[in-house]
Amino acid sequence: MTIWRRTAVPAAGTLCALIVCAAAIVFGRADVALIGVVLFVAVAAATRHPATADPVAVTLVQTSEDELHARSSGREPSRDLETAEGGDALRPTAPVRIEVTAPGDVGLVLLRITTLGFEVQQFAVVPPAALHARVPLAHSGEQELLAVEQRGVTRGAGFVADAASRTSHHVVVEPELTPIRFLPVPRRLRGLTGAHQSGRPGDGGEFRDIHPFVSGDRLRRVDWKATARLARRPGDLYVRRTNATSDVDVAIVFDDADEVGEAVAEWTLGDPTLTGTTSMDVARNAAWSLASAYLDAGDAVAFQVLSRAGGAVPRGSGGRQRERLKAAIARTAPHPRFLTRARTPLVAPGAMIVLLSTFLDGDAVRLAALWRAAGHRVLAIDTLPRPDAGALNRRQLLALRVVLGRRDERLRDLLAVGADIVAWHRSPAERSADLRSVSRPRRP
Amino acid sequence: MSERLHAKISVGAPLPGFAPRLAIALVGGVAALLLVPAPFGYLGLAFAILGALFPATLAAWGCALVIALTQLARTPEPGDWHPYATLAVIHLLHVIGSLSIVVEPGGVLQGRVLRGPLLGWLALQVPAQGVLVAVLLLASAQPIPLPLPGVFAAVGAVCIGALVVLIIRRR
Repeated sequence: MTIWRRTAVPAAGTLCALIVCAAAIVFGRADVALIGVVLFVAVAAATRHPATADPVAVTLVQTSEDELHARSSGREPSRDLETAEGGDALRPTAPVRIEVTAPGDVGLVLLRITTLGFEVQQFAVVPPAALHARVPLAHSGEQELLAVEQRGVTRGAGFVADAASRTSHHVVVEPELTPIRFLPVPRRLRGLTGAHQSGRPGDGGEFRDIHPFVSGDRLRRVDWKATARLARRPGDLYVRRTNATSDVDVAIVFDDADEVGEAVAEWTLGDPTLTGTTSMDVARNAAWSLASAYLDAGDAVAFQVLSRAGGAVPRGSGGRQRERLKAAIARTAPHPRFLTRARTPLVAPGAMIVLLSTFLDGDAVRLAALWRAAGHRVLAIDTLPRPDAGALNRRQLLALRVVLGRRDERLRDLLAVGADIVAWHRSPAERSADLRSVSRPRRP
Repeated sequence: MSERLHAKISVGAPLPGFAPRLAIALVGGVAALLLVPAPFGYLGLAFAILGALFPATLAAWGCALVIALTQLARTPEPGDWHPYATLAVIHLLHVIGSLSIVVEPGGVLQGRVLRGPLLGWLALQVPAQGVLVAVLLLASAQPIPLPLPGVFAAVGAVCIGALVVLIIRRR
């Protein structure tokens, strides 16, 4: 139901016409009186109250979803690309059509369009109208792409709708998938089958040792050359033993307490059009890439967020688990967390913990220490993007140095408790080298 | 520091949102200087500029009033262009003044927004200019004796009636 308010136009026009008519009568001037009459007629036309209470309707239609999927598949979007203003890189955009319809009394519709939650543009259009918006996809995750507030104005601007109704369009931009060749695994694998080398003897793995034949060994494992070389008396047999293979339980733990971007000056406001790549973008990309790689290796992957129980995915493997994880990771959004309420996610015994955090607070380090004490292997993924200190004054620079200094201390604490650290913001080659380094088998 | 990302929104034949205000300043200012003798012309110009900068002050109608009342100082002549221009300009100031009150200056105006009001202006101006020609012809042929008190009372009654109708409609 729309409530219409009268504008100042009828009053101003009527007053002006009255004065002109009065003066014309006093001076006996019919030509001047005609001016007043014309104004009266114009005001009368503008003062007609809208007969309908139907609101102005705005429909938002996304015209193509190619761009959203292009990001996740790693291929170049096929069309609808534009050069981001002020930047060199081609950035995918989401085309949205804004359709405006209104009852016949409405001659003008005022639109207030907010894109990505911050940038506001205002338009005045005649209904029915169709506007075409192209919104740059700056970040992954769930986001309000476009919100439209509309107000109707009657013909002649005599009445304007009182309250603006709001229509918004949300999208979930999937995170980027980075292929990972080297996957760290726990020191001791407990699974009975899988793709990773286990420490116990069995089938499927690489050569382990030459061992005297015992009851239960298969005859085809007898190494006749070794038997000829090592046998001391008739009847001695030696077999070649191999390592068993095993799967891994992986728990991806997502620290969703904060979202900070490359531009440090925007850490307080968080304007998504200015922040550059944010820690949540990095964390989503890392979580999805690692989850996908572990699933490809046949491992069981669970997903947890630190600040709330919702959004968690229990451990599992296979194609359906992949889709569940993809949806959960894409929908992860920053969530404020009080230190006293930080919950410790439950993980499977002996699971590999992948902890994604900016390490701007101590919660993640405390949890990593707990897990390490329980015997888990912890891989800490540093999701803080490379900070850009441009536009900071001296005090802010000093504050940044303090914040980063304390963060370095936390990272040193992580190394001290035996966690491995990989910085995800580094170049792909450096990141791959880091993952290879932490994936190398080490003595416990 | 990252550059701000901008969403591009296209609307057919866009005009800047300050176009109606600019039109008030141009139309009102030029008309005040051409139609109104000094020093009152400067008053009209000041009203036009004030109306362009702050449409909520309704100064556009103040400018229209100055221009309209100046017509009283001229002798009605059918061959004089001033009465016709005055009638057109005052109505035009009302039309663009109405638009400037509702349209945000920092926004974008679809070109079609001006089409409706200008067509309405034209539709009213064509007969009004015709009537004005007839009135000026009659007035120049012989002075029309107006029974001043009676006409004043009648027009006053019409105006009051119109106001009453407007108030009742609003309620």
